[in-house]
Amino acid sequence: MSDSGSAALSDVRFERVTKRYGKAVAVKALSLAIPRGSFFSLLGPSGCGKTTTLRLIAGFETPDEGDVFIRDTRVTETAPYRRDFAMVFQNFALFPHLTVADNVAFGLRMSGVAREERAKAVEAALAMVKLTGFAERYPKQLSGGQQQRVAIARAIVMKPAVLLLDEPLGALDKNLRESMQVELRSLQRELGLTTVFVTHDQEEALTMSDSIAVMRDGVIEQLGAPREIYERPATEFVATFLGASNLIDATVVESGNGSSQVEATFGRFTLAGSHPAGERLRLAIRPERVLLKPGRDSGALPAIVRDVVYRGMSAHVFLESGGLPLLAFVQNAASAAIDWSPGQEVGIVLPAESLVRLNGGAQAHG
Amino acid sequence: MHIILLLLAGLTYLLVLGPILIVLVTAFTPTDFFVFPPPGFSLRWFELFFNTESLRGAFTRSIQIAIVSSLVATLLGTMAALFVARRKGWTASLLQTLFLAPLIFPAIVFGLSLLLFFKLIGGMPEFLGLVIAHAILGMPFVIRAVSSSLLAVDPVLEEASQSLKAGPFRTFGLVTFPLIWPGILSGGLFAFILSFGELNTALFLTGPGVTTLPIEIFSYLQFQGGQLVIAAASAVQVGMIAIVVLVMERLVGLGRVVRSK
Repeated sequence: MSDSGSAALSDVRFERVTKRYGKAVAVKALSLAIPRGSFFSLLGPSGCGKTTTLRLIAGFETPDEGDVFIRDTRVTETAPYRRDFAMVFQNFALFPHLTVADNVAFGLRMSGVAREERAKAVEAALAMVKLTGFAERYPKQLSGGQQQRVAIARAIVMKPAVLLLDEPLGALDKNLRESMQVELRSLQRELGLTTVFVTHDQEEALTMSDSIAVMRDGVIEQLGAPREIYERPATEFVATFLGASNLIDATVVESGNGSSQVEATFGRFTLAGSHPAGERLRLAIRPERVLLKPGRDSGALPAIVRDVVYRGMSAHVFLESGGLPLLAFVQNAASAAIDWSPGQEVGIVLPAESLVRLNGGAQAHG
Repeated sequence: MHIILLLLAGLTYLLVLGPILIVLVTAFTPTDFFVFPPPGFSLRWFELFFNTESLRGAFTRSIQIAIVSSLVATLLGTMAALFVARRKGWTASLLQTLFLAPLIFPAIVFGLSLLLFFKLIGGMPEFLGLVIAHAILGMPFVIRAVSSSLLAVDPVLEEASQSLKAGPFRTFGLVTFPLIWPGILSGGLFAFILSFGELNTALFLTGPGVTTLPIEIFSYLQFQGGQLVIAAASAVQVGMIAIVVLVMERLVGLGRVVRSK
């Protein structure tokens, strides 16, 4: 047994898994352990290896190196139909020639579950996704959302060790997607199903996950709880892929008492944590953490408003400070709070606890 | 413009169906010689057709050969299509070309080469030789029909089936086959029709006493000319083909209805 999965029970485990397509490396020496019962998201842009990772769990792909485990059984070379998983596919992949009931019963039939027991399980699964009464319909007679529910019922009826979701909400329109997110999440909690969710939608990942693995170029850039990933991004990629971030290059001027004074092109400000003087840092701050003050206040950094986009709930204020473009989101808490106009001179405050130091140090570009 | 197109279409139909209609109508003539339009109605030439040992024998043999060869073509063609359809790269395209080669060769060359080949390997019974020839000729049509049905089936369905614990054979039987059977059926029936009317290779591969209906019709025309029993024989052939096409239309049409439900 390896060190990675010893403490907590894990339903899926990768040990240095590599998958290549020709010369391209889709997944690079990936190790991970997905704890039992958790909702785990693989998030990243297309081509980052998230779908390949999912297909490696399913067995639709075989690793070139490393091992895959499902519930501590090594399944590296096991055929998909002998693995303990169920999957909801991107475009549902319902069998068009079978009724809803037969679609949901398919896996149970293949596993040799007796007819009466099968019927009961199908009924329960359909009830769970609120599709009682649709059993005898064909997939084409259902709406997209209903087809989605059938696909979910077909997977959960199997009571799999792990449920794989391949961008299952991508084919639905926005409103439906949001309500399915909530439903899927509560269903997953209710059943305690270990779930691996592939998505390129960062908001969806934040909403649904217990933990998120942000992937890029076949490796995990950062793994953590949604809040951790969003508020303490480790790299520039994570900081910009999940929501918007202001990136600031700064040099440490002096340090002491658990905080440091740093200097950027537009002025000096305070950063939490001690850093050796002279070190160049790359910092990130979320636009909603940038505070705006009217006029040239002492203690605030000087900036000029370039543009304001009214968004109803908030306003996006595009700023420039010392040649650096900055973005601030201002809540529409009061009319005065969003009352900014282009050309206006303002002061900005970058709260020390909201500044995040990114790995990789400062880079040459602005 | 519309009228011109309509006229062109009518002309095409006339050219295609006119001669066949003339033969069909002539087959029912009571006269001894070709008169058009026939002065009456009689089944005497059909009677003669079924009472002539050589013609009746050729008819049943043609049906037997068509059934066996189309079954072989369907089986092999379907397997070939399954193998090729989901593969990419040069091997797949090479195989695809090879599988369709019988379409490109002149059938008469193909008949001659089969004859020589059978001689080389020490002879081949006529019936079996014809089955082999017709199976090879029919296969490309099966491959094409099945391939196009396969392309319409989302490969993810097969993965979905596997994710639900169905192995490759059950996946084929329960998911792939139910979705492509109209293609298999129409390919098979096409191979049947092709075999039933095939003349070119049969010219080389039939022998005395073992002939097919097209060969028998051909030699009747050559050596005993003028007999209207040939019109009846042709009518029987056309009738058979019409039945097969109708069956195909009904079954495949039905398949569409079931799937689009």
